[in-house]
Formats: sequence, structure tokens, C-alpha cells
Amino acid sequence: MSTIEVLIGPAAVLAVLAGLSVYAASTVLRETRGPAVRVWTLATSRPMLTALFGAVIVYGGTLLALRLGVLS
Amino acid sequence: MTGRTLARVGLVLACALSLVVPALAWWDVNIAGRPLWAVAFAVLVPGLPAALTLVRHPARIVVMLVPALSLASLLLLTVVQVTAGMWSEPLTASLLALVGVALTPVAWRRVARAVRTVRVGPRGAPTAPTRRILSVLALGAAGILWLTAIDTIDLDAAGSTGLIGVLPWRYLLAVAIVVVVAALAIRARPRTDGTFAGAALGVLAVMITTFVGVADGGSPVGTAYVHVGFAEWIGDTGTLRVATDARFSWPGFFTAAAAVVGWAGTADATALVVLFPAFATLLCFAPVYTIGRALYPGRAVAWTAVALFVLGNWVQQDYFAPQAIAFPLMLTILAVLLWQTAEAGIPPSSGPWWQRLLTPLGRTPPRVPGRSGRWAIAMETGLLAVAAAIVVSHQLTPVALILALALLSLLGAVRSRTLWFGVAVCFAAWFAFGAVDWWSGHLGVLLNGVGQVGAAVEAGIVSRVSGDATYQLMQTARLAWSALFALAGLAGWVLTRGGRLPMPVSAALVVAPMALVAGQAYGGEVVLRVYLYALPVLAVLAAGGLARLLRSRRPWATPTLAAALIVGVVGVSAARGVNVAFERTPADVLTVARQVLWSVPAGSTIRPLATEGALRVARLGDLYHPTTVEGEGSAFERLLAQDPDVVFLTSMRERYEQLRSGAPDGWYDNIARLLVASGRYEVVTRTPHVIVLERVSATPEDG
Repeated sequence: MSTIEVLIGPAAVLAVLAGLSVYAASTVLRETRGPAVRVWTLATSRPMLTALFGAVIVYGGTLLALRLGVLS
Repeated sequence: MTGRTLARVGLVLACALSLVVPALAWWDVNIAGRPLWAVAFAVLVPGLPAALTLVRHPARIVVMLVPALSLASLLLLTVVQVTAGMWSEPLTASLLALVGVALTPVAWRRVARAVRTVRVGPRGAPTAPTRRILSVLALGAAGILWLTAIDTIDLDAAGSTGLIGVLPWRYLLAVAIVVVVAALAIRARPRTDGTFAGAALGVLAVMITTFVGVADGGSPVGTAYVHVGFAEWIGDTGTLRVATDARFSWPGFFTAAAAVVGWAGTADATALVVLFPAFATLLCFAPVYTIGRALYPGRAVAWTAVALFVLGNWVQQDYFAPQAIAFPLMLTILAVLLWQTAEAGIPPSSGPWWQRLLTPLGRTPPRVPGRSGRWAIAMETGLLAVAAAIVVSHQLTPVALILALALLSLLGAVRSRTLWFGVAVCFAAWFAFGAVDWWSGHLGVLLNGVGQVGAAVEAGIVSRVSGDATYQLMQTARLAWSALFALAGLAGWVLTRGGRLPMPVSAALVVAPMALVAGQAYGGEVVLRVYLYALPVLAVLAAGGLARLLRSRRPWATPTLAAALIVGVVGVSAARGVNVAFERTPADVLTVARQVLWSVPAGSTIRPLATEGALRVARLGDLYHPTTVEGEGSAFERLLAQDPDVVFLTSMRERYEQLRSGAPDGWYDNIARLLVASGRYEVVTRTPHVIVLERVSATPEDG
């Protein structure tokens, strides 16, 4: 097994864990805000959370592509 | 019987199963009906206590969640066991039973507290007892007619017109009676008789989906036996076969089947395949009904939607296969989410048009009234578990689910707005780590399929309509049957403005699967899957379009509904059975296949002229099944060039060649004669449907 294969495996595991954590956090956060309907606008949005969400998607997607590319 | 009593009886039954089935599995005790106990355990444990812990009412949600949670637990646990090298069917049963028993006290208390008002059966004014008594008698008579039809049908006579050309009048009369009972129950006054509508439609589903299988004593689709072989391999070795078949990369269904076989104490899963299509179809009832109730008020539309789903479902993806379980699980997730949205309601958007367009993007609908945040999280966790079970069991269904969830989220139509992301992470994780065998080494080939819309449509629609002129006509009629349901769904959508939810929501559930055609490496069969995935919502929308008829007090309304359903049942019987001449597996084919498989030495090469699922039913790792040789020369010359140890010729495959390629009558007999005349083969077995030839003085080393 090459060095890159050894590195990508655990990194991809971390990406999966990060993705699941972001998902779990978003679910818990939504339910702790109460039962009412919420409509987000640009004024009420949280750019940091959106950026974190996007970063996790990019991170996971990149590692998935790398893993597939390297192992295939 | 009240809902509370029924729930308690169910909990006691689940507890009894939790004690009995693991004990039977550990000590391998053969008692009467052990397979039935095993199947009941797989469906009820731990789903029943888990569902009653999560939801106490409405009953349709409980009914839907029980098998979904049980099967999801079984799929996930067995995959964990097989990948961790801890395979043991008794251990699987014990762990599931432990979870079920642990949840039972909680479920019992919740049932005691809250299901007091829920009654099983009609409320309000009593339903006419005369109609019910007559309905029971009619269903009994229909059952007898159906059984006699099985005795009289000659499936060997089926040709280019398929099943409809050989259907006995008794079958048609039987299904017509059942449909009339269903129509009367749906239009019963003062309200729909849900118990009898469900019972009649259940009987109808069994009659339609199992007719060929019961008549033949074998699966209507031969591939089911390949899956039986996979399950047998897992049960025997406790491992997945590497580098042999892509389907082992999505093993949930096979590991679960292996566990059930172990609990049942049978040799393999063959006993399950004949009735499996009915089981898979019945699993869809509660989700389709729930989607119907979410989109339209009243039970009549929802039960009509279930009827239309049964009548539109000709694609036969309900045979013993992973998609047959993954599909109802996916429907369950969507139905639970739509139920929540319908219960909570979506506030109408206001302001200028661009604001009304953008508002859904940022909208999170309210929580179901009276439910806590902890309940919402628990429910979503349950749905994620069901989705994870789909992910490890089938490659296409999770993609359809993610697309549907993402679209619903974009439309602000579900409170679980990030569920699509959770499922996508699970899918990516399994793809990257669990399905390595599937993509490793040939990722390029898989990616080449992406974007091949034209090729998929060509393979899925155009190339299906080929061969004998009558057969082509029947294929076209089958496509027209699909188009009819699509048009009916569209008409219902327009007439009812999408039902109770915003129009784009119901449209999204039909449109989402269409994206599969573009982003897949699945070949032409994906077109059939797109239709299947869209069918439940099309059926609901079409039923919505019939709402006026269903509500009408005119005397002709019930006969009109019954007549439409009778036309539908004839149509679906014809459409499902177009390929019956060559897709079926008569009992003697399976018997002879087993004899051959268990009589040849390990390493032997066995060849049908093309494919034959029954030849994979056992000894997966011992025998060699080379693929069809394409190229120059006749089928006989190509077969001879491969020099297999055993040649297995079936009349079904011959019929296929006749319908699709214009092969002459007696073609296989002629090939057998030529093989014998070559001096290299001799006929060792001949039955009405099979000719088996063995190489003279064959040795395993030669293969």
C-alpha cells in the first residue's frame, strides 16, 4: 500500500465523521430552536455555519475523489 | 378491538418471537412453521416496540414503521457482522431480540397512556354488516377461483402475447370479484371501510404478483435464484465473495436473507422466492396510503391510490432482490416526512413573486403539533437508520432517495432539511469503504455511464421493443401502460393543484428520480426504475383526480370505479406477464439445476446458451459459469468452442430466442442433437423444460 493510500484512508474516515457531526449538530440545533416555522433570510443567516457546512462538503468530496482515484 | 389492545397483543407476540426464534436458531430445533416464525421475527422485531416507542398514533405511521425499522435493523446488523467477521445467525437473532425486549416496557407504557382514542375499523355510523359478510364470502370465492385457475393454466403455451394470451377466465373472474369488493369498501357510506379496502387490495396484490410463481412452483424472474445463491454463500462461509459480482458490494439484502434462512432452518432461501413479490408489494401499501393522506384529505383517495399503485406496478422489481426491500424502505422515509409536513402545515408565502419563489429555499416547516424536539430528533435518527440500511443494500435506491430529499429540502417542504446530507454522507462512506470491490480497478468504466441519457433511454425503451411483431406490440402496450399512469398523475396534479401541499412538492417527488437517467452507470434498466420510483406519487395524484368520483352520491359512481379498476387489473396482468414465456422458472428447471450443481465435481464449467439464474442457486464458489461468447459462428459453434463440462438448455431460453431473434422451433433440440453428434456430449437429463448434456469423460481439470 502506497503512502498516499495510507494517508487518504484515515483522512476520509475523518471526513465522514466530520460530515455526520455537522449533520447531527444541524439537526439538534434546529430542534432546540423551537417548533415554529422558520424562514431564513440573508439578514438572519449565519455565514460561519454555512461556510462550515460548505467546507465539510468540499473536504469530503475531495477526499472521496482522491480515494477513488488512487485505489482505482 | 381498540388500537391499544391490538398494540399490546402485538407487543406480546413480538416478545414471544424474541424468545422463541433465537432459541430455535441456537439449538436448531425443527418445529412446524419455523420459517413462518423466522419471517414474522424479521418483520416485527425490534420494529414493533421501537415504532410504538416513537409514535403511538396515527396507526398508519406505526404500521409503516414496524417493518421498516425491523428490516433496517436486520440489514444493518448483518452487514456489520459479515464485515467484522462475526457471522452467526443465532447471534443476530439474539441481539435483535434483546433490543426488542428492552424497548417493550417503554412501548407498553406509552401505549397504555395514549392510544385510548384510536380504534381499528370504521368510526362513526356502523358499516353495513351485510356488505361485510358478502365481501368475506366474495373474497373466499375469488380465492377458490384463483386456485383453480392455477391448476388449469398452461404457461408453456404462452408465446408472444405473454400471460394474457393464456390466462384462464377463472383468474379474470377472481380478480374482478376482488376489485368489486375493494371498490365497494372504498365507496362505502358514511365513510370508507379501510379494513375491507385494505384486505381486498392485499388479496389483489397477492393474486397479481404471485400467480405465475405459484403456478410454476418457482420464481417468475430467474435472477431471484442468483440471489438465493448469494445468501447461501454468506450463510455457509460468513463472508462476502470478493471480485466475483458487483452485487456483493451492496450486501445488506443477501446478509439479511442468509440470517432469515438460518433462523428458518431451511437449506436455502428458495422457499421465500415465490411469495416474496407479494410481501414486497404489501410493504408499499402503508407508505403509499400515507402519502395519499398527506396530499389529500379522506381515506377514499388514499385507498384508491394504493389500488392504482398495484395496477400500475408492472415492472416486476418486486422479485427476491435488494431493490424489492430498498424501495418500500425509501417510500417509508418519504411518507413519514410528508406526513409530518401535512400535519404541521406549510404557511403560504407572501410578497412579490420573487420573494414567493425564494422563501421556500430558507424555510423550515413547523414541527408536528404536540411533539417535542427530542421526539423529532429520535424520529429523524430512525429515518437515518432506515436510509443507512438502504445504502448498504442497493446502489441505485439511495441516490433516488438523496435526490428526492434534497429537492424537498430546497422547496422548504420538510422539517428534516439536512437529512439528504446525512444520507449522502452515509452513501459516500459506504461507497468509499464498503463498495471498494465494485469500483476498484474500473472506475473509468463506471463513470463513462454518467451523462449517457440517450443510451439509457435507448436501452430502456427503444431496444425493449424488438423481435416478433406481436411481441413488439405487447412491449409497446406495456410502455403505453406506463404513459397512461404518467398522464393520469399529471391530470390529477393539474386538477387538484398538487393536493394539500404546494404544487412543486408533489411534482418534485416525480421529477427527482428522472435525474437518475443522467447520473448513473446502470444501463437501460434505470428507465424502469425511474417509472417505479415515480409511480407511488403518480398513483396518489391520479387518485386525487378521481376525488369527485369517489365522493359522488350518483348510483353509477361505484360501478364506474369498479369497471375502471377491472380494466386496470387486466392491464397490469397483461403488462407484468409480457415476458412470461422466457422469464419464468418452472419447478423442473430448478430441480434439474440443483441435481446438476450437486453432482458435478468442484471446478466444473456449466453453460447455458445465455443466462440461467437457477444455475447459480448453489455452490457459488465451486463451479465456473463462463459468460456468453459473442462473435462469429452459430450459437452451437461458440458453445462448442468453450468446451464446458455441462451444457444446460432450457425451453424458456429457446422461447426468448424465438421471440427476440426469430429462432426456429426445436432450436435447442437441434443444438442438443448436434452436440451429441459431435461425439463430445451425451444427454443425461431431459424434462419438459430442460435438456442437460455432459461432456463425455469430463474431468474437472479439463475445465
